Amino acid sequence: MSENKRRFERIKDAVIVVLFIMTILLLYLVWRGYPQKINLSEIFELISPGTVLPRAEEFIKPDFVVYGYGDAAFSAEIQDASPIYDSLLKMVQENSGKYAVGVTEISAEQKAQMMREYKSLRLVFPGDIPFAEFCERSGIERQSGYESVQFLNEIIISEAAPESIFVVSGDSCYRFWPDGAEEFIGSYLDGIKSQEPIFYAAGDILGGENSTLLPLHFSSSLVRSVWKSEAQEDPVRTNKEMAVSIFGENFDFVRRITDNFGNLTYMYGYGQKTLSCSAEGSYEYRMMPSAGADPGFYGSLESAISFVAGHGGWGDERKASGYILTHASVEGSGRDKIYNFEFSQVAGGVRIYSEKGPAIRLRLSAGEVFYYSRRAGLANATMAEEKEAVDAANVLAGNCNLMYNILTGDLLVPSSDKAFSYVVEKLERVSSGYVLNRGMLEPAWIIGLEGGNNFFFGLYDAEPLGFTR
Amino acid sequence: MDWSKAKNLIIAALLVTNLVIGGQYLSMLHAETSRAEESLKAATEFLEEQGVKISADISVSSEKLPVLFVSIDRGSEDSDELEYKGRPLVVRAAQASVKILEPGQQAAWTISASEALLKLYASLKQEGSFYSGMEVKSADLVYVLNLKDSQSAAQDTAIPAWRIVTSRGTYYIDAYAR
Repeated sequence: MSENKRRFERIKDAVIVVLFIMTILLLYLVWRGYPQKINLSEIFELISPGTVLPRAEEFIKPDFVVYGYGDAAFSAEIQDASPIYDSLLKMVQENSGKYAVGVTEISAEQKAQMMREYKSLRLVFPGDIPFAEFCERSGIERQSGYESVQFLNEIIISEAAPESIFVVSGDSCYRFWPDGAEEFIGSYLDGIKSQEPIFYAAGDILGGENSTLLPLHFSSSLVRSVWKSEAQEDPVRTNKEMAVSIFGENFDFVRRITDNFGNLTYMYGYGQKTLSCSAEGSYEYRMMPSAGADPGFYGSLESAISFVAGHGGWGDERKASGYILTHASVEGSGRDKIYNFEFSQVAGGVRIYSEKGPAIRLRLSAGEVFYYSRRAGLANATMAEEKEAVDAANVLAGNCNLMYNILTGDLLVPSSDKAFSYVVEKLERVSSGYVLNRGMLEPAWIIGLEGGNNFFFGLYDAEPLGFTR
Repeated sequence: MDWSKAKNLIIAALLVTNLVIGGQYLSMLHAETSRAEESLKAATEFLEEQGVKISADISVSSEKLPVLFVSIDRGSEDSDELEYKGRPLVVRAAQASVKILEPGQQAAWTISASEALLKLYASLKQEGSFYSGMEVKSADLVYVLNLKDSQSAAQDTAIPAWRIVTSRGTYYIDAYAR
C-alpha cells in the first residue's frame, strides 16, 4: 500500500470517529430539546432491586390473640399471633366451598357469654378490614349472607358452638355455620391450656361491667433499651434522600426553607406538595388529595406499602425489627374515599409506642398517598432476667386522678373514687410494650381508653411516661 | 473484506444519519421559535381584546435558570441590591438582610412572558380584580424571595419569577409555572 493511500485511510478513520461523535451529540441535542421530556421516573417506580417490598397480606395479621378457659379467666398472646391465624386461615381456605355456610347475627350478650363461659379463641385485628375484599384476597368463596358483614375486626371460635366461626364487624358479631364442619374447628380449642399470665375482665377485678382484660400478676424481661432515629447518623444525607425520592427530578427546583432549629421544609409550587424534615429525624409529607376511582382496601394498602418502600423503606430486616399494621380505617365513600393506615415499629417482637404517634402513618385517596408521616428508628431491644411488674390494677388506681385530669380537662378531681370509676368505665385495653421516651425505649404499661387515648406508665414503677390523644 | 470500501460505506451512513438528525434538530429549533412568536402574538391579541394595553416590549424567548439558596438575617435591615446573572433578587413580605449562598445544581426553562401575562390575567379574573384598561408597563425576569410564609426561616430559596409592572401594581408570576 502506498504512503498516500495509507494516509488517506487514516483520514477516513478520523472522519468516522468525528462523524460518530457528531451523531451522538446531535442525538443528545434532539433528545434534550424535545418539548416534553419523557419522565422515566414516572414510567418506572424507582425502587432499587434490593428494597424490601412486603406483600399486603403480610400486614393483615391479628394484633393479639386471647385464649378463654371457660372460667372467666383468659390469657393473651400479644407478641406474635401469626402462627395461630395462619393455620386457621389455611383450614378455612382448604374447606372453602365444601360446605353450605349459614350466616346469622348474634347478640352482644351471647358473644360475651361464649367467651367467658366456654373455651374460646379470639383473634383481634388492628383495624377495619373490608370483609368482602378479605374473602376475595384469601381465596374464600363467598356465600349468601356474607354481604351483611362489612368489616373483619375479630375472629372468634368457641366451645359454645364448636362448628361455627364468629366474625366481629364493628359492634356486630356474625356466626358462620358451615354444615358438617364441627371436627376441624373444634380441634383448635382442644389445644388451649392455661398459661401465665392469667387475665380477667376488668369488671371482675375492679368492679363494674367492663370486659377489658387485665393480668392479675405480670412478669417481664423487658429492660430499658437504646433507640436511635434513622436519620441520626447523617441527617443531611437522609433528608436529601427523602426529598429526592418525593420530588424526583423536580428536586432542584423545590423551595428549601431551613429554620434556626435545624428543621427543614421542602415546598413544591405554592404548597401543592410539602415535605417537612424535623431536626430530630421525623418526616411529614403532604399534598392535595385527589378524587378518583377507588382501588379498594388491599389496592390502597399495596400503594401505601410501595410508597413507604420508595420513601424511607421498610428496613433491611423488617421481620426482625420491623413494622406491624396497627390501624386501618376508611373514611368517605365513592371517589372521595380515604384510607388511613398506621404502622408501628417493633423491637424484639414488642411494639414501640410514642407520644408522637405511630412510626408510619399514611392517608390515601384514589390509590395515591397524600399524607405520609414517618418517625422511624433503629432499636436494639435488650432483655434481662424476668422480674415482677407493677400490677396493672395498681397502675390504674395510682394514676386515675392524672388520667381523669387529662381526659376531662378538669383539674379538680371530685374524689379518687369518681376518677377511678371514670377511668375503669372507659378502659379498652391494657398491654405491655416499649414507650419511646427521651431517645430510649422504656418498658411500659399501655393503658388504652375509649376515644383512642393511650396512657403510658413505667412497667416496674408505674411512673407516668406520657399519653396520646 | 475490503476495509477501505467498508469505511466509505460507514462514512456515507454516518453522514446521512447526521444530516437527518441535524435537519430534525434545526426544524425543532425553528418550530420552537415560531411557536413562541405565535404564542406571544396570540396572547397579546387576546389580552388586548380583553382591554389590556401592552406598552412593554415583551421578550419572546424564555431562559434556563436555577433556583437560588439564600441566608436570611432578620436582625439586620441593610439589604444590598442583590442580583444573580443580571437578574435582581426581590425580597417580599419582610425586611431582612439576605445573602446568596449558592444556585441550585440544575437549571430549568422558565415560561415565556406571554404565558406569564396570561397567567396574571387568569389569576386577576379568578379573584375578580381584573379591570379593562389595565396597562402592562414592563415584564422582566427576576428572582423572588417571599418571606410571608417562612417568618422564622434562617435559609430559604429564591425562585425565578416574571415581574409584571402594570398601571394597577406590580405582580410576580412563578416562572417555573407550577
